[in-house]
Amino acid sequence: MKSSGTKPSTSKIRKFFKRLFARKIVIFGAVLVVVFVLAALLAPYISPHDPYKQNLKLSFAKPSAQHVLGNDELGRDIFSRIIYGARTSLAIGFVAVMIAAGCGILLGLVAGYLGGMVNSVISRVMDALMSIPAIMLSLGLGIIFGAGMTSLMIILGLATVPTYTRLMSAQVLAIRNSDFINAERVLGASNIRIMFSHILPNCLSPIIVLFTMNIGGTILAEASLSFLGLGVKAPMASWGAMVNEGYSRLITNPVFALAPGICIMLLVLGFNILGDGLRDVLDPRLRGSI
Amino acid sequence: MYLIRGYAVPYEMRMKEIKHLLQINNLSVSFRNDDIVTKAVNGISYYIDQGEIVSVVGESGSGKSVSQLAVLQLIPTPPGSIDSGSVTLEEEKLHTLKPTGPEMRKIRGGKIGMIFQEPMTSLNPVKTVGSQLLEPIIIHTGLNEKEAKKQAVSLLSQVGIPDAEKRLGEYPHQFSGGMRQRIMVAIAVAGNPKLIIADEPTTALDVTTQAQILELLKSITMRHGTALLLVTHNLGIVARYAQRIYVMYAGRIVESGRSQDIFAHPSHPYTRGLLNAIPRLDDSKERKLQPIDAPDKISTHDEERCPFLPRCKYRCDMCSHQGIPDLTATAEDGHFAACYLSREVLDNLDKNNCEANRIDRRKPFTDHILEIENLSVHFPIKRGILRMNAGKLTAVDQVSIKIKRGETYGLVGESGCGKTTIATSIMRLITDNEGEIIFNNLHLNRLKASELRRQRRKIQMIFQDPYSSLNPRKSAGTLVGEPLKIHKLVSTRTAYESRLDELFTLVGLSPSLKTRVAHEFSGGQRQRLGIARALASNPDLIVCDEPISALDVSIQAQIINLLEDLQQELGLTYLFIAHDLSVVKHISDTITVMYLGKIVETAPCDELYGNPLHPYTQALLAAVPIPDPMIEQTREKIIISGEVISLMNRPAGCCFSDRCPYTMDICREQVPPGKNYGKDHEVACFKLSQGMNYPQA
Repeated sequence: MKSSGTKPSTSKIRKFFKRLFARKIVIFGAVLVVVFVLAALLAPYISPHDPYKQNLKLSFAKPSAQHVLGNDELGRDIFSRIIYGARTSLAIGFVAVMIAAGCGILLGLVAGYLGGMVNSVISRVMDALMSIPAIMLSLGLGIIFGAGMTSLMIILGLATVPTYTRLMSAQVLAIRNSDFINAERVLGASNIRIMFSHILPNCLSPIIVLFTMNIGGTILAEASLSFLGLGVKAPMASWGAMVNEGYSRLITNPVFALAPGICIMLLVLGFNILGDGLRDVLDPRLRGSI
Repeated sequence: MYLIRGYAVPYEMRMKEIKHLLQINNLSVSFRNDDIVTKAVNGISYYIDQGEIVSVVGESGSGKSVSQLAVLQLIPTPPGSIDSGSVTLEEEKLHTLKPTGPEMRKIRGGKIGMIFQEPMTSLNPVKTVGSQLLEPIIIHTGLNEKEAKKQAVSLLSQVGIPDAEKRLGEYPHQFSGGMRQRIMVAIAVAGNPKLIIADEPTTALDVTTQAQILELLKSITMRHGTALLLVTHNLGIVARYAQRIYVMYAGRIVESGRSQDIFAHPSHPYTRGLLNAIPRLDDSKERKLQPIDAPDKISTHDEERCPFLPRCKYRCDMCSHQGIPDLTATAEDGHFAACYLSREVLDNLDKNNCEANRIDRRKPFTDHILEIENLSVHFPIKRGILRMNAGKLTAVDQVSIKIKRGETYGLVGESGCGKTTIATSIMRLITDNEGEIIFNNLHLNRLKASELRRQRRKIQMIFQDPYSSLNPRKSAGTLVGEPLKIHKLVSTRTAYESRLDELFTLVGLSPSLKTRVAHEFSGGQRQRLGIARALASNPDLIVCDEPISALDVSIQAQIINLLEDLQQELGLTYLFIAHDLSVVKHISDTITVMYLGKIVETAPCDELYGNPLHPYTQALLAAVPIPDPMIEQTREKIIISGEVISLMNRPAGCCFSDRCPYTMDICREQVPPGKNYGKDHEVACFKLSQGMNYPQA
């Protein structure tokens, strides 16, 4: 059964990619994302220098053959720090969005399926969370959890939970009363089975799109928080922190702040384009138009 | 009844002499999607004369609507494109005009009026009916606003909307579905068109409303001398209204001719198949429907061969070796069929295999499997920002039904009569109700949740829409096997697989299809999957909620036959809910007619159809057209006024009192009780119980 089952699915995957990459811009986005992900994964192998090794002789050195983008205040190689910074940014982006999606999907599923009082309570809490500006919320949570990578992930994750909850509960509401869910109820399936085995898989397409787009947003937010000093701890390389360190010397040594800034821009752009492309493929309402 | 003009002259001569109003030649339309080109219309030619009623008949995907859209240049390009063909309206060559140009805009709504299927979406919800009606009048007749308004009022009263002047200022949502379709008719006639194209104008409407709208269309076109092109899948409507017919299949015209010729001597296997496949109101109950075969995939057929070949039961060697057959003349004037076999050959082939067309209807009935006592279902009406309860809407009112083990119990009524609410109450999808539901001596409404879940496997349900009732993410096998897993009916993997194979075979699907996902199946196959899923837990009772109304006519017969065969084989009991009286007559043993949440009449099938007593039942039966023009011409048409009203405004007394032609004072004040008139025939009507008789249908 397995072997015959995989056959149509591989062709389906091929078809999926064909449609995804029908627009050239999506290829560009995907390449950007893949390049950064590879850089992050292979950081120890491809970075030319140790990103933490200080060399005060080279403090604020201009770009040279040895150090492509020059060195920072403490003489650390900026190029290597950017490669390692990709690790931090992507790790925080992924984990934070995983936390957000995990909590949001669960809450949204429960709220949408059970409705009534449960839905009201969850929705109102989410509305309250959403009414606080994200950066304020992050600052507040940052004070509670303290600085550091783990708390950054939690903070950024919690700040985006409402988006997922809302999207999910709206999705669930739309299919909760559809015939195939009624059919499950008629068959005698339990609520848990209906929720997880039947409703959840049918709600995932828009969640995947939001997921991709949010990674970009979260990386940006991480940069902002690091810039504000709530980010990762000192020696660790993070793009936001690098911009923070470099912006005061923007005129004398522009590479210092611009290089990580451009990386942030490109990665966020890549994720957004990819998310857009995914939405076009996964959203059935847009299916005919591409 | 109506004049059939010019048929004394031989057909070929007529073709040369008379200029047709609209002439379409060799029209082809294709759609491109993901590099796959689908030919929707394949070189069809047809014509319509002044003042004629012509019908294009076909199932979904036959290209009947697409070809009309192509005539009006309304095909979205891309993905669609008109590949070839000429369209001539009077002297004007429409195919040479720019689709968005001013000349074409003058044609649409001017010389050609249009009516679409869905009255709920074809009017703009944010504009008043008046402004939507004034628009075509001003554009196409050049009247000023004041005159146009006068014209609009007269049009609205012509289409039977009372208080026309006042209602011009109202918005579409303030009108019912039937009223909106009347407004669409008014808009279509507004530009004084030569031709009205009506694309399934009544498919979304109730039976009694359907009859009203069609009568209106007919009278209005006759009064204005407008030609009417009626696109439909309903052969009954065609028989009742059309003078000439084009039968379409897979983008081609397979048969054309005068209505009475085609119904009396169908000459294409597809037309013959269709006529044998549909249950008719005047059928004997023993006739077994003969479905048209459906191969697994219709799209796999050979481009060079007759498109109907894979489904044709008369096919012979000649068909699979020669190209696509052309329309050739038959014995009657103007009657053409695209088939290599002549009518005589088809008749002979039919004679040879006419055995096994009757079914044995005798069923041993014993005890009652399901008893519903005084069931009432109310829905709260919420108003205001605080969503306070502002009253209740009674969807089902004091309904009692007794279903015998092994029978098929038909529940009939128009939209809003509460038939589906009863089904969902039995299935306990709605738990808020009064009254008792007793299944196998168990009070379902009093069971605990866990006990109810255990009992669920004994009552199953088949849903109306085979597309929305199957989870699109699961494979066919998983869907059908779901009840086996939920109720742990099998213990091993091999037992599970073999039970699945058994179920697939039972509903006529190949077990090798188990791994496919739902969207890879056709509508009929999907409904078979739904039936297999319902059968998986060995139920005693199956509630069928309009199980065939979403299917094509040729597929409906297969599902009806399957349900009947399964009943004989497994001794099932069905509660069959439908709005189509011919289908219900075919399959049911006992029938209950409902109106606005009330039972109006209950009787054994033959008794109900032979001797309908309630005025509503009589009107319903009269509204159903019979697919035979000869019978239709002699039938007396009782068309009741008004539409099914909203449950919110249910009349105080008898629920039918405001539409009934025989209403008396007592009807408006008191609710008539059900009374037995012998032969298990129960009717709720004061006129009857007071011993007065009224004319019968």
